[in-house]
Amino acid sequence: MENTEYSLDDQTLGSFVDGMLDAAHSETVIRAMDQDQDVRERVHQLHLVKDLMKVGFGHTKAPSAHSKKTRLATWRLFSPRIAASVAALFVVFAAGMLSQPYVNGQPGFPGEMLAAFSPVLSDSDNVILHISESDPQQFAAALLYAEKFLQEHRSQGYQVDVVAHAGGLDVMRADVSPLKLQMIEMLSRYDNVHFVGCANAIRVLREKGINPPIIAGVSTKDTAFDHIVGRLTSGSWKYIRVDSLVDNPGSA
Amino acid sequence: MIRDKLCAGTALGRRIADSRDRLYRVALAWCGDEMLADDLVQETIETGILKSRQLKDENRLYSWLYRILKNAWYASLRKNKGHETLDEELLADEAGPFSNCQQLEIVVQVRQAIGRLPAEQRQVISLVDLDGLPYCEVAEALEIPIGTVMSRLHRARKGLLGKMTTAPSGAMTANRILHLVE
Repeated sequence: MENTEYSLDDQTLGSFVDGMLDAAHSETVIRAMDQDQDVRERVHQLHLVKDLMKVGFGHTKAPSAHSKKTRLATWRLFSPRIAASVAALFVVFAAGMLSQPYVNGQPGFPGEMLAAFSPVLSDSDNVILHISESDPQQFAAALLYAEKFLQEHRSQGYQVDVVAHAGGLDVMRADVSPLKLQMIEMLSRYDNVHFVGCANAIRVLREKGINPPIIAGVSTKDTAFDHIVGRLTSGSWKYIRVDSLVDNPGSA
Repeated sequence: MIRDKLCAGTALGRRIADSRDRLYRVALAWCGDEMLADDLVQETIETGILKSRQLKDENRLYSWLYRILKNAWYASLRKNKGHETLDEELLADEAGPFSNCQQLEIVVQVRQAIGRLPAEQRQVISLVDLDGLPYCEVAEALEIPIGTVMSRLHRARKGLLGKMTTAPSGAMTANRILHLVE
């Protein structure tokens, strides 16, 4: 057993938190908590661990028998890293470049926009870009990242999934997406880019009386999270929250 | 389906089969692989039902089932020893019904932190903090003394908090997570 400055006491506090102490010892701990901020804090930390375990695993359910039949065994591990982002994106937006979806008569991103957008790209994984907010900057960041990644790794054949739920679904709506043409153009140029909309988010919109037309080529999955989780557990995929590309310029 | 074939009509059999999600959460925390966890749980349930007559005290059902699960996991590790070292990083997987990115991020971080704990600490912290098993039943399940349960639990909790606090750049600190989960 470790003999740190508080190992024995922490075990006692742990037993208290776990309901393993008898009434007299529990009373002692409660008195100590009343009188000592440090004891309170340590008990608090022990409760935090319990909370973390429940958040980390508590909602998990065993897969259905059907998913078991179709699964592929894998020991490939996923290591989530939040990608770097780009201050230059804001300059691009300020220049209003997204309002001009055609470049030399073809839809797409202007070369200077792609050049200005220089996040640290994933170098060895397929990528999931997850959008949850209706924010044109995030939409553009997702597509620019996808475009650069696909260009950079043309020979490796890595895949990019752009997954949208909640407000993020707007980027995939034919009626409101500011990047509809760019998406269609990317779908026509790349076999390895997929746009996935959350069917649950579409259902929510329908309940509100909105029947959103989805851009041709966009697939839908029951829930965006199921899709993300499926990817993360089935191989080498890197998860990127698109808001991190916009909110944390320069972070790695 | 095993549930239909083996446990129809027996209350204990049904209890065992109904433990699937509970066993799965712990198995996942131990091995970090959802497919392996599913296999282990399936095996545990089958063994549990087939050998249910060996269970002397139904109040000890879970410590008994977790002992079966532990043995199944160890057997799997022996069989696949080329694939995993016990302290290897865990994958992040199923998020369940989470509704926003922050929650998914927490799930990923917790699972990674747990995956970096030594296997024996992972076992104890999962059974106590996730499943809520009393120390004596954890000791029974893992076939170790209660004192060892306590010391491993202490180290696991300390290790988990430490790993969450020193998560990589861009990751959330334990305090921020605390704020989110509270």
